[in-house]
Amino acid sequence: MSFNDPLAYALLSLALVILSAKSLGRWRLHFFSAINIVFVALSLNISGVSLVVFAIFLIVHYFALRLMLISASSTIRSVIFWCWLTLCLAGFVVVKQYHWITEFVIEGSLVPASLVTVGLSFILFRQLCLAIETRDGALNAVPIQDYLNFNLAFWTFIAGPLQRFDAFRAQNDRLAKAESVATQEVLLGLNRAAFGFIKMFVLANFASQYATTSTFLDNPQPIYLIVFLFAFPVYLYLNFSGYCDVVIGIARAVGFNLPENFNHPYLARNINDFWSRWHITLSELLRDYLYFPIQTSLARHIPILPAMILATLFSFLVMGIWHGNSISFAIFGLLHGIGVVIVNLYTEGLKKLLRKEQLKNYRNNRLIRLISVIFCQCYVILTFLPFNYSNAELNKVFQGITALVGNF
Amino acid sequence: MTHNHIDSISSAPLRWAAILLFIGLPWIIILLLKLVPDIPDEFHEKMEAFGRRPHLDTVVVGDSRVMRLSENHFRTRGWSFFNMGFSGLSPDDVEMSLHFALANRPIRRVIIGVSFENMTQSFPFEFSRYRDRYEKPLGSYVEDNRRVNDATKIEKKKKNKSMDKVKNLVSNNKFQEVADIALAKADSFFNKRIRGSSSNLHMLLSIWGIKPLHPNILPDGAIAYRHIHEDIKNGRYNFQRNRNVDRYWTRKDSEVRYLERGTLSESSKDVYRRIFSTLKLRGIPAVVFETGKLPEYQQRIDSDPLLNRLQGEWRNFYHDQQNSCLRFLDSKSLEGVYDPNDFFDATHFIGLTEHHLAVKIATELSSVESGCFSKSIRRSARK
Repeated sequence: MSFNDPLAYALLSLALVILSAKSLGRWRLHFFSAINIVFVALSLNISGVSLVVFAIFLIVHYFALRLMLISASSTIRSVIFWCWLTLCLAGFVVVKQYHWITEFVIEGSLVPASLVTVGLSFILFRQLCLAIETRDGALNAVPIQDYLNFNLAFWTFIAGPLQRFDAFRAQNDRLAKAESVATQEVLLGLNRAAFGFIKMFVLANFASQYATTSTFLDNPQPIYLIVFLFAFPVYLYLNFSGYCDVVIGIARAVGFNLPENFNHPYLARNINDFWSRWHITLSELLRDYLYFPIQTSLARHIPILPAMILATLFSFLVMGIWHGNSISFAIFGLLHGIGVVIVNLYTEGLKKLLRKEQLKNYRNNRLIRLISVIFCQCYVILTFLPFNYSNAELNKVFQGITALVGNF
Repeated sequence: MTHNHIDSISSAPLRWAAILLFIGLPWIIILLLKLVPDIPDEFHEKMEAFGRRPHLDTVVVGDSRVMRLSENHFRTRGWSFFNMGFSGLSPDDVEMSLHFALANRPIRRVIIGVSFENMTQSFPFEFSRYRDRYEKPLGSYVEDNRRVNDATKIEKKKKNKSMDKVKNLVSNNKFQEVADIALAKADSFFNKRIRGSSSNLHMLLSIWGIKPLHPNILPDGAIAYRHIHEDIKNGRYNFQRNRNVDRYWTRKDSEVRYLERGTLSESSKDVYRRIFSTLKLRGIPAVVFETGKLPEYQQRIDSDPLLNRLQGEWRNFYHDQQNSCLRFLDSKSLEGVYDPNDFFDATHFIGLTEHHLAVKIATELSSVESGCFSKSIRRSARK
C-alpha cells in the first residue's frame, strides 16, 4: 500500500491526528499499535496466507528472543541465535521466492501466488539486529508492545529507514509519556513530508516516464541514451528519498526522530562514499552487524587485507541478495562490493605513495574531486541497470549502442 | 519564519492548523483534479505515434473525417502508412501537417481528404489553429517552411541534413511535451483549447503523471473512437441525436456560415494550389477525395441554391487542379463507398465504410502512381 492510495493517506492522517493529541496520554501508544496492525494488514491486501506468514516470522523470532533473554549462558544464547537465523533465512528464501537458490533443492514455487511479502525484507533486518543485541546481552527486556511497534511501525514498515531497537524504544517511551512536540518540529516535519510527496509523486513520476528501454530504442541517438541511463537512478533516488522524507517528516511531527537515509548520494566521490550517503541506515547495519564481525573473525586466521576484501564482498553480496530475489540483484551487490574493494585498495596505495600533506592536497583538489564524482556516478549508473532492466532488455540496449557507434 | 517567531505564536492552534492543512490539501487537490476534464490530446498522441514510425512512405492529411483511415488497408500493398489527420483542420493546417510529414519522412504517396465546409470565406478557423503547436516544438523550422511558397526552396531545405537532425531531435520525442508547456503563452495557460486537444492544465498534469492522457490515437495515427465504440456496444449511443443533420445547421460554427458571405475562400484555394504544385514538383502522386456525409446532409446542401452552387464550384476547383500526379475523387467517384448505416454522426463513420474507402483510394492512388512515375521518368530522361 503506497501513500498515494487514498486509504493509506486516510490512515496516515488519522495517525497524525491521534498521535498529536496530547490529551490522549498513554492511549496514544495503544492507538499507534492498532494503526500499525491495520496498516500492515492493508499492505498485505488482508490476505490470510500473508498474515499467517508474517505472524509466524514474528512469533518464532519473539519466542527465540524470550529464550535468549532467560538464558544465562552465552553459548546457549548463541545456539538459539543460530538456530533461529538458519530457520529464518530458510523461510525468507522460500517466502520471497529466491528460485535461483531454492531450485537446488526443489523446482518451482513453494508458496501460493497470492502471498504478499511487502516489508518482509525490512522486518528481517530489524529482527536480525534485535537478535544479535539480545544474544550479546545488550538487551535485557523486549516488551511485546514495543516489539510489535518496532517491527510493524507503519511509517517504516514498507521501506525503512531501519532503526535500532534502543533508539526506537526511547522514542516509543516518549509517546507513552505523552510529551508534547514543539510546534516548530511539527511544522518542519510536515513541511518535509509535503516535499517528500512532491518528490515521490510528481518528480519521480516524471523521471519514471523515461526509465524504459523504449526511451533509447525508439530514438537511437546519443542524447536519448544519456536520458535512458540517467532516468532510472534519478527516479530511484527521488522515489526512495521522497518516501524517506515523508516518513521522517510525519514521524518528526509527532515527536519521533527517525534516522536519515540519504545525504546527496550522487555527489559521492567513490563507491565507499556513495554507500555512506545512500540508504545510510542499511549500510550502517550491514557494517556493524555483518562486515565488522566477519572481518574480525577472518582476521584471526588470515592477513587483514584479504580479510577485509572477503568481508566486503560477502557483505555486499548479502546486501544485493537482500534487495531482490533475482540473480541480477546478487550481481548488483557483487559489483558494488568489487567497487568498494578497489576504492579501498586504491586508498591504501595512495596512503603508501603520498605523504600526509600530499594526500590532503589530493583529497582537496577540486578537479580530482569532480573527476572522481563523475567516474563514481558512471559506475553507479551502470551497476543500477540490472536493478531495473531484464537481461533481454539490456541486450537490446547494447545492440542499439553498437548500432549507434557503428553509425558514427 | 524563524523558530522564535513560531514559539511566540499561540502554539496549539498553529500546530493543528498545520496538521489539518496537511491532511486536507491532498483531498482538495484530488477534488480539483476531478474537475479537470479527461480529454484526449490528439496532437500529442499523434506526434508521439509519428515519432515512433521512422519509415513512412504514405500519409493521409485532412480533418477529422479522414481520421478513421488506418494502415491495415494499405499494408497489403507494401505501403507504410500514417494518418496525419487532425480534428477541425483548416486548409492552412493541411498545408502545415503535409509539410511536416514531407520534411520528416521520405513520403512517396499522399492522400488528402477535403471537406466542402473547410473552404468557405467565413470559416471561423480559416487560418491555422495548430500553428502554435507545430511551431513551439519545431521552433523556426516549420515557420520557415510555411514562408517558403516556392517548392524549389523546399527542395534546397530538404538537403540540409544537419538541420534535419536538429529538427528530428526537437520534434519527434517526449521532450516535445515539456517544450510545449515551457513555451506555452501565459494567457493560454488555462483557457486556450483547440479541438481534439487537452487543456494546457490537463497536459501539464499528464506530463507529471498525475492525470494520464486518454489514449485515443492508434499506432498508425488513426483515431480509435474508444468512447463511441463503448457506447455503441453498451447501447448507450444516441444515434438519433448524433445523426441529426440539423445539429450541424444550428451550431454557432455550423454550415450556416456559408450563407454569410456566399463565396469560397480565395486564400484557401491558394493554399491548395501551393500544396498541389509542391507535390507535382516533387513527383509525389496524390489522391484528393471528398469526405463522406450522410445523404440527409447532402440533401440539405442540395436544397439550398447558394450551397448547391458553392459545392459545385468547390468540386470544379479540385477537378481543375488534376494532373498526371493528382486525382480528385468526388462524391460521384466514390458512389457506393460510403454506407449511410456506418455513420455515427452526419460526417463520421466506423465499420466497413473505412475498408471500402481505403480500397478505393489505394486503387486510384496506385493508378496515379504509375502515371506519375512514368511522367517523371520521361521528364528526367528529357533533362
